[in-house]
Amino acid sequence: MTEVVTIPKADYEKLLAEVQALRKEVEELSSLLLPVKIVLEKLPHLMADIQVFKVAAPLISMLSIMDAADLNAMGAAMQGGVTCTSKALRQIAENGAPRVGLFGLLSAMRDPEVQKAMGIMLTVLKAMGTCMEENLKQVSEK
Amino acid sequence: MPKKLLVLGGGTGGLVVSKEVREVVGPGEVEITLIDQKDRTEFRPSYLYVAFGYRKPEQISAPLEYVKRHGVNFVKAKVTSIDAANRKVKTTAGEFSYDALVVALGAETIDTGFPHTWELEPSLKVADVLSQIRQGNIVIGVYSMPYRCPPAPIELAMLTHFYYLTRGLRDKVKITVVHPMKRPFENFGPMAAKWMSGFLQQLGVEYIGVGQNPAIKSLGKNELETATGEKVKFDAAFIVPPHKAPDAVLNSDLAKNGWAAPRNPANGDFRSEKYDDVYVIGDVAAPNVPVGMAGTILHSYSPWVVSNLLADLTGISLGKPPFRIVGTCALDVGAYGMAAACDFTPFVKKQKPYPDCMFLPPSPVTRMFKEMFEKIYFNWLLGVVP
Repeated sequence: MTEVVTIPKADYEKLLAEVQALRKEVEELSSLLLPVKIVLEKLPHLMADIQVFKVAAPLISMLSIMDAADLNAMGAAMQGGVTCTSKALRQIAENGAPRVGLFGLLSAMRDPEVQKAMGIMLTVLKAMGTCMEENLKQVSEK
Repeated sequence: MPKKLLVLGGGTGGLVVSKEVREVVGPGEVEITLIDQKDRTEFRPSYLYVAFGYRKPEQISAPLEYVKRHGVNFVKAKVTSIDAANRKVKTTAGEFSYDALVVALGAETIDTGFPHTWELEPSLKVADVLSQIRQGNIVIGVYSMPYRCPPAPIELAMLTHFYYLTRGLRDKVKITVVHPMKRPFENFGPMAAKWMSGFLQQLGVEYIGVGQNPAIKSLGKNELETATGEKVKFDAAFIVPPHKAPDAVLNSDLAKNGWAAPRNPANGDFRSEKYDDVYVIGDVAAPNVPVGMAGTILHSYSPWVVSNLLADLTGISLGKPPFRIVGTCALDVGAYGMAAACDFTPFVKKQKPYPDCMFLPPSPVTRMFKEMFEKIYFNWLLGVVP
Protein backbone atom coordinates (compact mmCIF):
# COMPACT_ATOMS: atom_id res chain seq x y z
CA MET A 1 0.00 0.00 0.00
CA THR A 2 1.31 3.48 -0.89
CA GLU A 3 2.00 5.56 2.16
CA VAL A 4 0.37 9.01 2.05
CA VAL A 5 2.01 11.90 3.87
CA THR A 6 -0.05 14.96 4.58
CA ILE A 7 1.66 18.34 4.89
CA PRO A 8 0.18 21.82 5.25
CA LYS A 9 -0.57 23.53 1.93
CA ALA A 10 1.78 26.41 2.72
CA ASP A 11 4.68 23.96 3.27
CA TYR A 12 3.77 22.13 0.09
CA GLU A 13 3.78 25.35 -1.93
CA LYS A 14 7.07 26.42 -0.38
CA LEU A 15 8.58 23.05 -1.27
CA LEU A 16 7.23 23.32 -4.81
CA ALA A 17 8.73 26.80 -5.21
CA GLU A 18 12.08 25.54 -3.94
CA VAL A 19 12.04 22.65 -6.41
CA GLN A 20 11.16 25.03 -9.24
CA ALA A 21 13.98 27.40 -8.27
CA LEU A 22 16.38 24.49 -8.03
CA ARG A 23 15.31 23.19 -11.40
CA LYS A 24 15.86 26.63 -12.96
CA GLU A 25 19.34 26.77 -11.43
CA VAL A 26 20.23 23.30 -12.69
CA GLU A 27 19.01 24.25 -16.18
CA GLU A 28 21.06 27.46 -16.13
CA LEU A 29 24.12 25.65 -14.84
CA SER A 30 23.74 22.90 -17.39
CA SER A 31 23.50 25.46 -20.24
CA LEU A 32 26.48 27.31 -18.84
CA LEU A 33 28.56 24.15 -18.62
CA LEU A 34 27.56 22.84 -22.04
CA PRO A 35 30.65 24.27 -23.82
CA VAL A 36 32.87 22.71 -21.11
CA LYS A 37 31.04 19.40 -21.60
CA ILE A 38 31.71 19.54 -25.34
CA VAL A 39 35.42 20.22 -24.72
CA LEU A 40 35.59 17.37 -22.19
CA GLU A 41 33.89 15.04 -24.64
CA LYS A 42 36.48 15.93 -27.28
CA LEU A 43 39.36 15.51 -24.81
CA PRO A 44 40.13 11.88 -25.80
CA HIS A 45 40.48 13.03 -29.42
CA LEU A 46 42.82 15.83 -28.39
CA MET A 47 44.90 13.47 -26.24
CA ALA A 48 45.28 11.10 -29.19
CA ASP A 49 46.01 13.82 -31.76
CA ILE A 50 49.57 13.78 -33.06
CA GLN A 51 49.60 17.53 -33.72
CA VAL A 52 48.56 18.21 -30.14
CA PHE A 53 51.22 15.70 -29.04
CA LYS A 54 53.91 17.59 -30.95
CA VAL A 55 52.87 20.93 -29.49
CA ALA A 56 52.73 19.49 -25.97
CA ALA A 57 56.03 17.61 -26.43
CA PRO A 58 58.40 20.52 -25.57
CA LEU A 59 56.42 21.23 -22.41
CA ILE A 60 56.33 17.58 -21.32
CA SER A 61 60.03 17.16 -22.18
CA MET A 62 60.92 20.26 -20.18
CA LEU A 63 60.06 18.40 -16.96
CA SER A 64 62.86 15.94 -17.56
CA ILE A 65 65.20 18.42 -19.24
CA MET A 66 64.98 20.92 -16.40
CA ASP A 67 65.54 18.10 -13.91
CA ALA A 68 69.10 17.87 -15.24
CA ALA A 69 69.66 21.63 -15.24
CA ASP A 70 72.02 23.39 -12.81
CA LEU A 71 69.43 26.00 -11.94
CA ASN A 72 71.87 28.14 -9.91
CA ALA A 73 74.35 28.40 -12.80
CA MET A 74 71.59 28.76 -15.40
CA GLY A 75 69.86 31.40 -13.30
CA ALA A 76 73.09 33.35 -12.76
CA ALA A 77 73.87 33.12 -16.49
CA MET A 78 70.40 34.29 -17.44
CA GLN A 79 70.51 37.12 -14.95
CA GLY A 80 74.02 38.04 -16.08
CA GLY A 81 72.99 37.81 -19.71
CA VAL A 82 70.02 40.11 -19.20
CA THR A 83 71.88 42.63 -17.02
CA CYS A 84 75.00 42.73 -19.18
CA THR A 85 73.13 42.88 -22.46
CA SER A 86 70.87 45.64 -21.14
CA LYS A 87 73.93 47.63 -20.12
CA ALA A 88 75.52 47.20 -23.55
CA LEU A 89 72.30 48.03 -25.38
CA ARG A 90 71.82 51.18 -23.27
CA GLN A 91 75.39 52.21 -24.14
CA ILE A 92 74.63 51.73 -27.84
CA ALA A 93 71.34 53.57 -27.49
CA GLU A 94 73.11 56.58 -25.93
CA ASN A 95 76.39 56.68 -27.84
CA GLY A 96 75.85 54.42 -30.86
CA ALA A 97 78.19 51.55 -31.77
CA PRO A 98 81.61 52.00 -33.39
CA ARG A 99 82.21 50.64 -36.89
CA VAL A 100 84.71 47.83 -36.61
CA GLY A 101 86.81 46.57 -39.51
CA LEU A 102 89.40 43.81 -39.60
CA PHE A 103 92.04 45.93 -37.87
CA GLY A 104 89.50 47.14 -35.36
CA LEU A 105 88.69 43.55 -34.61
CA LEU A 106 92.36 42.73 -34.04
CA SER A 107 92.71 45.73 -31.80
CA ALA A 108 89.53 44.79 -29.87
CA MET A 109 90.99 41.35 -29.30
CA ARG A 110 93.68 42.98 -27.15
CA ASP A 111 91.02 44.47 -24.86
CA PRO A 112 90.87 42.39 -21.62
CA GLU A 113 87.05 42.75 -21.48
CA VAL A 114 86.65 41.38 -24.99
CA GLN A 115 89.18 38.64 -24.20
CA LYS A 116 87.11 37.67 -21.19
CA ALA A 117 83.90 37.56 -23.29
CA MET A 118 85.68 35.47 -25.94
CA GLY A 119 86.90 33.16 -23.18
CA ILE A 120 83.35 32.64 -21.93
CA MET A 121 82.06 31.96 -25.43
CA LEU A 122 84.89 29.55 -26.22
CA THR A 123 84.49 27.70 -22.93
CA VAL A 124 80.77 27.23 -23.66
CA LEU A 125 81.51 26.13 -27.22
CA LYS A 126 84.20 23.68 -26.06
CA ALA A 127 81.81 22.08 -23.57
CA MET A 128 79.02 21.98 -26.16
CA GLY A 129 81.08 20.07 -28.74
CA THR A 130 81.36 16.62 -27.22
CA CYS A 131 78.25 16.98 -25.07
CA MET A 132 75.96 17.91 -27.97
CA GLU A 133 77.39 15.17 -30.15
CA GLU A 134 76.80 12.56 -27.46
CA ASN A 135 73.21 13.72 -26.99
CA LEU A 136 72.45 13.81 -30.70
CA LYS A 137 73.96 10.34 -31.16
CA GLN A 138 71.10 9.02 -29.04
CA VAL A 139 68.64 9.84 -31.80
CA SER A 140 70.74 8.77 -34.78
CA GLU A 141 69.35 5.92 -36.81
CA LYS A 142 72.74 4.14 -37.04
CA MET B 1 12.06 2.19 -40.64
CA PRO B 2 15.44 2.98 -39.10
CA LYS B 3 18.51 1.47 -40.75
CA LYS B 4 20.24 -1.26 -38.78
CA LEU B 5 23.86 -0.90 -37.72
CA LEU B 6 25.24 -4.08 -36.17
CA VAL B 7 28.47 -3.76 -34.23
CA LEU B 8 30.35 -6.91 -33.26
CA GLY B 9 32.65 -6.43 -30.28
CA GLY B 10 32.44 -4.25 -27.19
CA GLY B 11 36.09 -3.22 -27.06
CA THR B 12 37.48 0.14 -28.15
CA GLY B 13 36.47 -0.31 -31.81
CA GLY B 14 32.87 -1.27 -31.18
CA LEU B 15 32.38 1.37 -28.51
CA VAL B 16 33.97 4.21 -30.47
CA VAL B 17 31.89 3.49 -33.57
CA SER B 18 28.63 3.10 -31.62
CA LYS B 19 29.22 6.28 -29.64
CA GLU B 20 30.37 8.43 -32.55
CA VAL B 21 27.60 7.29 -34.92
CA ARG B 22 24.98 7.83 -32.22
CA GLU B 23 26.31 11.34 -31.59
CA VAL B 24 25.23 12.27 -35.12
CA VAL B 25 22.08 10.22 -35.67
CA GLY B 26 19.30 9.25 -33.31
CA PRO B 27 17.61 5.84 -32.90
CA GLY B 28 14.81 6.96 -35.23
CA GLU B 29 17.29 7.05 -38.11
CA VAL B 30 19.76 4.33 -37.20
CA GLU B 31 19.22 1.49 -34.76
CA ILE B 32 22.54 0.40 -33.30
CA THR B 33 23.04 -3.01 -31.73
CA LEU B 34 26.30 -3.95 -30.08
CA ILE B 35 27.11 -7.62 -29.43
CA ASP B 36 29.82 -8.89 -27.12
CA GLN B 37 30.36 -12.20 -25.37
CA LYS B 38 31.23 -10.48 -22.10
CA ASP B 39 29.01 -8.19 -20.11
CA ARG B 40 31.85 -5.88 -19.13
CA THR B 41 34.40 -4.04 -21.23
CA GLU B 42 37.93 -3.64 -19.97
CA PHE B 43 40.62 -1.02 -20.39
CA ARG B 44 43.33 -3.45 -21.44
CA PRO B 45 46.38 -1.18 -20.91
CA SER B 46 45.61 -1.28 -17.19
CA TYR B 47 46.03 -5.08 -16.95
CA LEU B 48 49.63 -4.14 -16.12
CA TYR B 49 48.41 -2.15 -13.15
CA VAL B 50 46.28 -5.11 -12.00
CA ALA B 51 49.40 -7.29 -12.15
CA PHE B 52 51.22 -4.91 -9.84
CA GLY B 53 48.32 -4.43 -7.44
CA TYR B 54 47.78 -0.83 -8.47
CA ARG B 55 44.28 -1.51 -9.77
CA LYS B 56 41.49 -3.91 -8.89
CA PRO B 57 39.66 -5.60 -11.79
CA GLU B 58 36.45 -3.64 -11.14
CA GLN B 59 38.40 -0.38 -11.43
CA ILE B 60 39.44 -1.07 -15.01
CA SER B 61 36.18 -2.39 -16.37
CA ALA B 62 32.60 -1.21 -16.78
CA PRO B 63 29.29 -2.87 -17.69
CA LEU B 64 28.51 -2.78 -21.40
CA GLU B 65 24.87 -2.19 -20.44
CA TYR B 66 25.86 1.47 -20.15
CA VAL B 67 25.80 1.79 -23.97
CA LYS B 68 22.04 1.94 -23.52
CA ARG B 69 22.58 5.45 -22.16
CA HIS B 70 23.56 6.44 -25.71
CA GLY B 71 20.52 4.67 -27.13
CA VAL B 72 22.55 1.67 -28.28
CA ASN B 73 21.16 -1.85 -27.78
CA PHE B 74 23.45 -4.32 -26.07
CA VAL B 75 23.24 -8.08 -26.54
CA LYS B 76 25.47 -10.39 -24.55
CA ALA B 77 26.23 -13.24 -26.94
CA LYS B 78 29.08 -15.00 -28.71
CA VAL B 79 29.23 -14.45 -32.45
CA THR B 80 29.29 -17.89 -34.07
CA SER B 81 29.23 -17.04 -37.78
CA ILE B 82 29.21 -14.11 -40.16
CA ASP B 83 27.41 -14.63 -43.46
CA ALA B 84 28.20 -11.31 -45.16
CA ALA B 85 26.83 -12.44 -48.53
CA ASN B 86 23.35 -12.73 -46.96
CA ARG B 87 23.79 -10.00 -44.34
CA LYS B 88 23.30 -12.43 -41.46
CA VAL B 89 25.23 -12.81 -38.21
CA LYS B 90 24.59 -15.85 -36.06
CA THR B 91 25.15 -15.65 -32.32
CA THR B 92 24.39 -17.67 -29.23
CA ALA B 93 21.47 -15.26 -28.72
CA GLY B 94 20.01 -15.76 -32.18
CA GLU B 95 20.43 -14.41 -35.68
CA PHE B 96 20.83 -10.73 -36.59
CA SER B 97 20.46 -8.94 -39.91
CA TYR B 98 21.90 -5.53 -40.76
CA ASP B 99 22.22 -2.68 -43.23
CA ALA B 100 25.79 -2.05 -42.14
CA LEU B 101 28.10 -4.30 -40.12
CA VAL B 102 31.17 -3.36 -38.12
CA VAL B 103 33.43 -6.25 -37.21
CA ALA B 104 35.52 -5.18 -34.23
CA LEU B 105 35.90 -8.56 -32.56
CA GLY B 106 39.53 -8.05 -31.60
CA ALA B 107 42.12 -10.76 -31.20
CA GLU B 108 41.82 -13.81 -28.99
CA THR B 109 44.65 -15.27 -26.95
CA ILE B 110 45.52 -18.95 -26.88
CA ASP B 111 46.22 -20.08 -23.34
CA THR B 112 49.72 -21.43 -22.70
CA GLY B 113 49.09 -22.04 -19.00
CA PHE B 114 51.52 -19.26 -18.04
CA PRO B 115 50.48 -15.99 -16.41
CA HIS B 116 50.63 -12.80 -18.47
CA THR B 117 49.11 -9.32 -18.68
CA TRP B 118 47.16 -9.76 -21.92
CA GLU B 119 43.91 -10.82 -20.21
CA LEU B 120 42.43 -9.92 -16.84
CA GLU B 121 42.50 -13.29 -15.02
CA PRO B 122 46.11 -14.13 -15.93
CA SER B 123 47.11 -10.61 -14.79
CA LEU B 124 45.96 -11.50 -11.28
CA LYS B 125 48.16 -14.59 -11.49
CA VAL B 126 51.13 -12.37 -12.40
CA ALA B 127 50.45 -10.51 -9.15
CA ASP B 128 50.47 -13.83 -7.23
CA VAL B 129 53.75 -14.92 -8.79
CA LEU B 130 55.44 -11.57 -8.19
CA SER B 131 54.40 -11.61 -4.54
CA GLN B 132 56.01 -15.05 -4.11
CA ILE B 133 59.24 -14.69 -6.06
CA ARG B 134 61.95 -13.00 -4.02
CA GLN B 135 64.92 -14.21 -6.01
CA GLY B 136 65.77 -16.03 -9.21
CA ASN B 137 65.17 -15.66 -12.92
CA ILE B 138 62.04 -14.05 -14.29
CA VAL B 139 61.45 -14.41 -18.01
CA ILE B 140 59.04 -12.30 -20.02
CA GLY B 141 58.60 -14.27 -23.20
CA VAL B 142 56.70 -13.28 -26.32
CA TYR B 143 55.51 -16.48 -27.92
CA SER B 144 54.82 -15.00 -31.33
CA MET B 145 53.75 -11.92 -33.24
CA PRO B 146 51.33 -10.29 -33.73
CA TYR B 147 50.11 -9.59 -30.23
CA ARG B 148 48.18 -6.73 -28.67
CA CYS B 149 50.11 -3.56 -27.83
CA PRO B 150 53.61 -4.15 -29.23
CA PRO B 151 55.50 -2.17 -26.54
CA ALA B 152 53.72 -3.87 -23.61
CA PRO B 153 56.20 -6.74 -22.97
CA ILE B 154 58.94 -4.14 -22.51
CA GLU B 155 56.64 -2.15 -20.24
CA LEU B 156 56.05 -5.33 -18.20
CA ALA B 157 59.81 -5.85 -17.94
CA MET B 158 60.37 -2.28 -16.81
CA LEU B 159 57.62 -2.47 -14.20
CA THR B 160 59.01 -5.79 -12.96
CA HIS B 161 62.42 -4.14 -12.66
CA PHE B 162 60.89 -1.23 -10.75
CA TYR B 163 58.89 -3.49 -8.45
CA TYR B 164 61.98 -5.42 -7.33
CA LEU B 165 64.07 -2.26 -7.18
CA THR B 166 61.67 -0.64 -4.72
CA ARG B 167 61.49 -3.83 -2.64
CA GLY B 168 65.29 -3.86 -2.39
CA LEU B 169 65.46 -7.23 -4.17
CA ARG B 170 66.58 -6.15 -7.62
CA ASP B 171 70.09 -7.63 -7.22
CA LYS B 172 68.53 -11.03 -6.42
CA VAL B 173 66.28 -11.14 -9.47
CA LYS B 174 67.40 -11.49 -13.07
CA ILE B 175 64.90 -10.19 -15.66
CA THR B 176 65.08 -11.47 -19.23
CA VAL B 177 62.90 -10.62 -22.21
CA VAL B 178 62.63 -13.22 -24.99
CA HIS B 179 61.17 -11.69 -28.14
CA PRO B 180 60.75 -12.56 -31.84
CA MET B 181 62.32 -9.23 -32.84
CA LYS B 182 66.12 -9.05 -32.86
CA ARG B 183 66.12 -5.68 -31.08
CA PRO B 184 63.51 -4.16 -28.76
CA PHE B 185 61.25 -1.60 -30.49
CA GLU B 186 62.72 -2.57 -33.88
CA ASN B 187 59.23 -2.14 -35.37
CA PHE B 188 59.36 1.54 -34.43
CA GLY B 189 62.56 2.13 -36.42
CA PRO B 190 66.32 1.89 -35.81
CA MET B 191 66.49 4.95 -33.57
CA ALA B 192 63.81 3.52 -31.26
CA ALA B 193 65.58 0.12 -31.23
CA LYS B 194 68.93 1.64 -30.33
CA TRP B 195 67.44 3.84 -27.67
CA MET B 196 65.36 1.08 -26.06
CA SER B 197 68.31 -1.37 -26.14
CA GLY B 198 70.32 1.21 -24.19
CA PHE B 199 67.47 1.84 -21.77
CA LEU B 200 67.03 -1.87 -20.99
CA GLN B 201 70.79 -2.20 -20.57
CA GLN B 202 70.74 0.65 -18.05
CA LEU B 203 68.01 -1.15 -16.09
CA GLY B 204 69.92 -4.43 -16.23
CA VAL B 205 67.19 -6.20 -18.22
CA GLU B 206 68.56 -8.81 -20.60
CA TYR B 207 66.99 -8.94 -24.06
CA ILE B 208 67.16 -12.10 -26.15
CA GLY B 209 66.14 -11.18 -29.69
CA VAL B 210 65.35 -14.49 -31.36
CA GLY B 211 64.89 -13.06 -34.86
CA GLN B 212 62.26 -15.68 -35.71
CA ASN B 213 58.50 -15.84 -35.43
CA PRO B 214 57.28 -17.73 -33.40
CA ALA B 215 60.17 -17.05 -31.04
CA ILE B 216 59.45 -19.90 -28.65
CA LYS B 217 59.73 -23.53 -29.71
CA SER B 218 58.78 -25.15 -26.42
CA LEU B 219 57.74 -24.21 -22.93
CA GLY B 220 58.70 -26.40 -19.98
CA LYS B 221 57.99 -25.98 -16.31
CA ASN B 222 61.26 -24.14 -15.64
CA GLU B 223 62.83 -23.76 -19.04
CA LEU B 224 61.90 -22.51 -22.47
CA GLU B 225 63.58 -23.21 -25.75
CA THR B 226 63.72 -20.50 -28.38
CA ALA B 227 63.17 -21.14 -32.08
CA THR B 228 66.95 -20.91 -32.53
CA GLY B 229 67.57 -23.61 -29.90
CA GLU B 230 68.67 -21.39 -27.05
CA LYS B 231 67.52 -22.69 -23.68
CA VAL B 232 66.46 -20.15 -21.05
CA LYS B 233 65.90 -21.29 -17.47
CA PHE B 234 63.44 -19.48 -15.23
CA ASP B 235 61.86 -19.52 -11.80
CA ALA B 236 58.85 -17.67 -13.14
CA ALA B 237 57.78 -16.89 -16.67
CA PHE B 238 55.21 -14.46 -18.01
CA ILE B 239 54.41 -15.60 -21.51
CA VAL B 240 52.64 -13.35 -23.98
CA PRO B 241 50.27 -15.91 -25.51
CA PRO B 242 49.82 -16.44 -29.25
CA HIS B 243 46.95 -14.40 -30.68
CA LYS B 244 44.40 -15.38 -33.30
CA ALA B 245 41.32 -13.93 -34.95
CA PRO B 246 37.99 -15.20 -33.57
CA ASP B 247 36.66 -18.32 -35.36
CA ALA B 248 33.61 -16.45 -36.65
CA VAL B 249 35.99 -14.23 -38.65
CA LEU B 250 38.37 -17.02 -39.65
CA ASN B 251 35.49 -19.12 -40.97
CA SER B 252 33.97 -16.24 -42.91
CA ASP B 253 35.05 -14.79 -46.24
CA LEU B 254 36.23 -11.62 -44.49
CA ALA B 255 39.59 -13.18 -43.55
CA LYS B 256 42.94 -13.11 -45.32
CA ASN B 257 46.24 -14.36 -43.83
CA GLY B 258 44.41 -15.32 -40.64
CA TRP B 259 42.95 -11.85 -39.95
CA ALA B 260 40.10 -9.70 -41.26
CA ALA B 261 41.10 -7.88 -44.43
CA PRO B 262 40.28 -4.19 -44.89
CA ARG B 263 39.95 -3.00 -48.50
CA ASN B 264 42.41 -0.14 -48.74
CA PRO B 265 43.57 1.05 -45.32
CA ALA B 266 46.32 3.22 -46.82
CA ASN B 267 43.54 5.45 -48.16
CA GLY B 268 41.28 5.19 -45.14
CA ASP B 269 38.98 2.55 -46.59
CA PHE B 270 38.24 -0.01 -43.89
CA ARG B 271 35.41 -1.73 -45.73
CA SER B 272 36.00 -5.45 -46.09
CA GLU B 273 37.65 -6.50 -49.32
CA LYS B 274 34.46 -8.10 -50.65
CA TYR B 275 31.51 -6.31 -49.07
CA ASP B 276 30.63 -2.62 -49.19
CA ASP B 277 28.40 -2.88 -46.11
CA VAL B 278 30.97 -4.55 -43.84
CA TYR B 279 33.75 -2.68 -42.05
CA VAL B 280 36.62 -4.49 -40.36
CA ILE B 281 38.45 -2.45 -37.74
CA GLY B 282 40.79 -2.69 -34.77
CA ASP B 283 42.93 -5.63 -33.70
CA VAL B 284 41.07 -8.16 -35.84
CA ALA B 285 42.24 -6.29 -38.95
CA ALA B 286 45.50 -4.71 -37.68
CA PRO B 287 47.96 -7.29 -39.17
CA ASN B 288 46.49 -6.67 -42.63
CA VAL B 289 46.74 -2.84 -42.37
CA PRO B 290 49.58 -3.41 -41.30
CA VAL B 291 49.86 -1.79 -37.89
CA GLY B 292 50.19 -2.97 -34.31
CA MET B 293 47.15 -3.98 -32.33
CA ALA B 294 46.24 -0.98 -30.19
CA GLY B 295 43.11 1.01 -29.44
CA THR B 296 44.94 4.28 -30.01
CA ILE B 297 45.69 3.38 -33.63
CA LEU B 298 42.08 2.41 -34.26
CA HIS B 299 41.00 5.65 -32.58
CA SER B 300 43.08 7.66 -35.09
CA TYR B 301 41.37 6.21 -38.16
CA SER B 302 37.91 5.71 -36.65
CA PRO B 303 36.63 9.15 -37.79
CA TRP B 304 36.95 7.91 -41.37
CA VAL B 305 35.07 4.73 -40.60
CA VAL B 306 32.32 6.66 -38.79
CA SER B 307 32.10 9.21 -41.59
CA ASN B 308 31.72 6.48 -44.23
CA LEU B 309 29.22 4.56 -42.12
CA LEU B 310 27.10 7.68 -41.67
CA ALA B 311 27.19 8.36 -45.39
CA ASP B 312 26.19 4.73 -46.08
CA LEU B 313 23.33 4.82 -43.60
CA THR B 314 22.01 8.35 -43.96
CA GLY B 315 23.25 9.35 -47.41
CA ILE B 316 25.46 12.23 -46.28
CA SER B 317 28.27 12.89 -43.86
CA LEU B 318 30.69 15.68 -43.04
CA GLY B 319 34.18 14.91 -44.38
CA LYS B 320 37.15 14.34 -42.13
CA PRO B 321 40.66 15.83 -41.99
CA PRO B 322 43.47 14.33 -44.12
CA PHE B 323 43.79 10.63 -43.40
CA ARG B 324 46.45 9.70 -40.84
CA ILE B 325 47.06 6.53 -38.91
CA VAL B 326 48.81 7.40 -35.69
CA GLY B 327 49.28 6.00 -32.23
CA THR B 328 49.97 7.98 -29.09
CA CYS B 329 50.62 6.33 -25.78
CA ALA B 330 52.17 6.69 -22.38
CA LEU B 331 54.37 3.80 -21.31
CA ASP B 332 54.83 3.23 -17.62
CA VAL B 333 58.55 2.86 -17.06
CA GLY B 334 58.22 2.54 -13.30
CA ALA B 335 56.94 5.61 -11.40
CA TYR B 336 57.50 7.59 -14.57
CA GLY B 337 55.44 7.71 -17.70
CA MET B 338 57.03 8.01 -21.09
CA ALA B 339 54.96 9.65 -23.78
CA ALA B 340 55.40 8.26 -27.26
CA ALA B 341 53.73 8.85 -30.58
CA CYS B 342 54.10 7.20 -33.95
CA ASP B 343 52.80 8.33 -37.31
CA PHE B 344 52.18 5.10 -39.21
CA THR B 345 50.77 6.83 -42.31
CA PRO B 346 53.95 6.76 -44.47
CA PHE B 347 54.60 3.17 -43.35
CA VAL B 348 51.07 1.99 -44.21
CA LYS B 349 51.29 3.81 -47.54
CA LYS B 350 54.60 1.93 -48.14
CA GLN B 351 56.52 5.20 -48.44
CA LYS B 352 58.81 4.42 -45.50
CA PRO B 353 60.19 1.17 -44.06
CA TYR B 354 59.06 2.07 -40.55
CA PRO B 355 56.79 4.60 -38.82
CA ASP B 356 57.87 8.09 -37.69
CA CYS B 357 58.12 7.73 -33.93
CA MET B 358 58.80 10.20 -31.16
CA PHE B 359 59.69 9.35 -27.59
CA LEU B 360 59.68 11.99 -24.89
CA PRO B 361 61.83 11.82 -21.76
CA PRO B 362 60.12 10.02 -18.85
CA SER B 363 58.26 12.21 -16.39
CA PRO B 364 55.82 11.69 -13.51
CA VAL B 365 53.31 13.97 -15.25
CA THR B 366 53.08 11.60 -18.22
CA ARG B 367 52.17 8.82 -15.85
CA MET B 368 49.38 10.98 -14.48
CA PHE B 369 48.19 11.42 -18.07
CA LYS B 370 48.20 7.65 -18.50
CA GLU B 371 46.04 7.21 -15.44
CA MET B 372 43.80 10.11 -16.46
CA PHE B 373 43.21 8.57 -19.86
CA GLU B 374 42.01 5.35 -18.23
CA LYS B 375 39.26 7.37 -16.50
CA ILE B 376 38.51 9.51 -19.53
CA TYR B 377 38.25 6.36 -21.67
CA PHE B 378 35.25 5.04 -19.74
CA ASN B 379 33.68 8.45 -19.37
CA TRP B 380 34.04 9.07 -23.10
CA LEU B 381 32.63 5.76 -24.28
CA LEU B 382 30.22 4.74 -21.53
CA GLY B 383 29.56 7.89 -19.54
CA VAL B 384 30.79 6.29 -16.34
CA VAL B 385 34.04 6.22 -14.38
CA PRO B 386 34.53 2.93 -12.55
